[in-house]
Amino acid sequence: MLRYALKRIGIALLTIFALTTITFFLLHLLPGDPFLNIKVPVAIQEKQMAYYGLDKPILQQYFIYLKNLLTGNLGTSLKYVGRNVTDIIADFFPVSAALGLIALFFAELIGMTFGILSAQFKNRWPDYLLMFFAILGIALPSMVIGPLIRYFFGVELRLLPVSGWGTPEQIIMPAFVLGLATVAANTRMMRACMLAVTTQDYIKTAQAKGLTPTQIVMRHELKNSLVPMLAGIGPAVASVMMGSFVVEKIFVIPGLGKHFVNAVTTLDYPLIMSLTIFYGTILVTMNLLVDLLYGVVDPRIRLD
Amino acid sequence: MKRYLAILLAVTLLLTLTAGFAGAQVKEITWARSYDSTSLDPAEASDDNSINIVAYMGEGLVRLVDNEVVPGVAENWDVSGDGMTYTFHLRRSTWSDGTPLTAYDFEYSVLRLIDPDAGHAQALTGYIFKNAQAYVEGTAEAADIGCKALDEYTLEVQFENTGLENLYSLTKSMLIPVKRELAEELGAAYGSDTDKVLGNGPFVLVEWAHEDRIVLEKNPAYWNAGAIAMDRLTGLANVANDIAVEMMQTGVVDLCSFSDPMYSEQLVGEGFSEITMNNPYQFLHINELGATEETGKFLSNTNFRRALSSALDRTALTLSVLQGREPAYRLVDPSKTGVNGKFVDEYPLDDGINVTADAQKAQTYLNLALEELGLTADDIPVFTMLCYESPTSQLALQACQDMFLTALGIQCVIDPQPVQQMMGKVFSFDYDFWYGGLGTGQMDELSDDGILGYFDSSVEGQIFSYANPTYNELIATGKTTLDLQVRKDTLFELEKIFCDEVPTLLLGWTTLRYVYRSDIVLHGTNSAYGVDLAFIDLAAE
Repeated sequence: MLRYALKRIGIALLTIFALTTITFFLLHLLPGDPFLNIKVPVAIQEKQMAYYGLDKPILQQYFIYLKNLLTGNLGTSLKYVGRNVTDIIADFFPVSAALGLIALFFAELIGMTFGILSAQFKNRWPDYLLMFFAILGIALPSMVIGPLIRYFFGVELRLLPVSGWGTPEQIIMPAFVLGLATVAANTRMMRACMLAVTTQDYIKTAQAKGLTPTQIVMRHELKNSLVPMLAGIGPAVASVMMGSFVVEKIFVIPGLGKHFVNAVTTLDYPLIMSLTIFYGTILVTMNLLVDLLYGVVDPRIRLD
Repeated sequence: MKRYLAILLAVTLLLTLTAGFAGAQVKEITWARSYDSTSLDPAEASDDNSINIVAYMGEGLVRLVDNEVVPGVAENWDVSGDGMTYTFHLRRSTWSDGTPLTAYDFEYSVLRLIDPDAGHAQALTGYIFKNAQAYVEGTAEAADIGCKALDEYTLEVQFENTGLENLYSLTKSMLIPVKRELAEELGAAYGSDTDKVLGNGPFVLVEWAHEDRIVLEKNPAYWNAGAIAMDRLTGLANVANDIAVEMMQTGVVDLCSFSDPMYSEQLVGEGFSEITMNNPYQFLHINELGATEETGKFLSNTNFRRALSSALDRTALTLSVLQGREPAYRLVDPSKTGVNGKFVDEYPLDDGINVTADAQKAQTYLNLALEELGLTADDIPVFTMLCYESPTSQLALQACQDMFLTALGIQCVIDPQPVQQMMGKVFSFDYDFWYGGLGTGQMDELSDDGILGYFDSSVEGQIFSYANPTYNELIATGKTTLDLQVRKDTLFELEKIFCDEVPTLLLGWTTLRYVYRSDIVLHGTNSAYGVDLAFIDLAAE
């Protein structure tokens, strides 16, 4: 187990190094430069490039970046003048992470419950009803459902605030919209996993032993259906913690989502690099944790 | 009896306290902003939402109120006969931390703005001072720059050029002073956070939750604090148009602005007030050099450009894809002043810019162009239309593309790009047409931030390739005269050349619509900063 964990950590570090290198060079291949502006004289633009070390040869810039990265210096943003990229991530990541984790927690819980119920009532009206909502949840993008519920609950009924961040009421609508697609996907997946295990020999054995349907579901079907579900949780956690450009925009939430888009359009090199590395690190870490969890959930899986 | 007396006293005390609280009611508003400020350093703030906050927190030598230059930190000033030297006499005022603000602060701030090593984004504004550009380019010393403190409360400013615009230039937020000690301690981080900026203006920054909210409170140390009615201003960031409407309806915000009338009309219908202002021009810029030699041959021909202009139906554009804009029928926008009144009234222009398409005229100009070039319609190449990758820009170009094709049979391809890649193509002249905007100018179109200067080929490093020596001479005359009549006459001459020679295709004026709670009273509104929140008030109930 320890050997396996160390090996996986080594691979994770190599992955992040490769990610850093590839992103750095791809980014600098993009045409244009971050300081091009018709209202700024070319002489000043050149000074700006020099100030941020962008006038140096690309390889030299790369090694300077790596050296700074190893000392924890992610640089300063080119758009948010004078702000450290570390501060920017520290400001916005907690908001996105909190919203994402709350949304994911309920999405997993509800999705799995719906999936179990759907499997239990296979080809009967509760199954059709739940599947109808699952398809709806996948088909309706957040940019459609978000403004609709915001208008209905915020403006028409005045039950929830239309925007903002900080109070529990302000979390409900964005968390719902963010988690909706996950609920739908989990319902379908859990249903499929549950149905796949119902035909297994150990279920027949359990039935022969006289276990009640609830006992069979809780002790055998659910436990054996969790392994494939677990595989999706790692990337899902990493993804929702990074924020959603659309949901954060719809509900005016000061999260990390918009920076992934804006940093690229404004060519804010330090911010793009840091966000990519940060996301990559979390994604790799989550996948590693999930891999290690496999052995805990299913002792038949040996991590050697 | 004693018990009743005690109750009576308690009630009286309560009423007094309540009355006291009512008297001290906090006057505050919340306004919606489409994006957050990126920097509150006057030398770096370059977007409207940063510039406005800098202007609420700070004050330069003079201030622009209702489009008039009024005293700011400078109480009064003397002007030399040639209009090149201004001697400002400063009032005894302080920073918001109570420390004195002196002429040395202004001298330092100008030097910092044009510091060649710092490469501040707004350094160009400092080029108005004598020798500033030479200093940036390394051919002059700091001691040569035309901004000197003669003593603590006297500042001498020498301008690079003479002209009526000099005093207007000093109202810009980039010339608001920064406190030396703090700026030197923080370096590039100055203006990046709540505790990293200090002002001397009507408001102080008390909270800046990035990408969320910015809270300003009245600065009791401001010299003119008596003129400031509001106690607190809260700006919410990243509010899109649709949600701004809902925030107004639910009372979350009290003021917001829109370009698209669809949103403002809905709110006005629900009882909110509205004020409109002309904003920058929308252009289809022409690269006369052409993206290729072949396209350049056509675009450098004046009759060909006239044909293009005649083919455009500006009214249709503003009614369909550019909603909220007004079709441009001449260069000078209708809100600009002339000598005694509105410029457009004093200088009527019959043969300006066509607002509807004139296919016959367009074809006549095209035939003339082909004759001059010795080419036929079959030789007309395909042109590229560059724009930012937004849906509005692409729609606008699709409309122009269709108009050129319908009226002249000219084919164009649209090249949408992310903003910095688009700018890369602009700077390398890798386009035939570029959909963009430019400012109407603080004083008028001749101002440094106005449109006309961009086509002055005597200035090095221009991004447009139009060249006309007569035009250049008129620009020099208009900018350097001290006679308002001469300036406006020259502006009119320039306008006629602009409309006739079509260095660029002016499409329309953007109109910004401010919608606000009906008890808000606006004061000090001007074209440079829009609605100036520093001077608003709430009507008494």
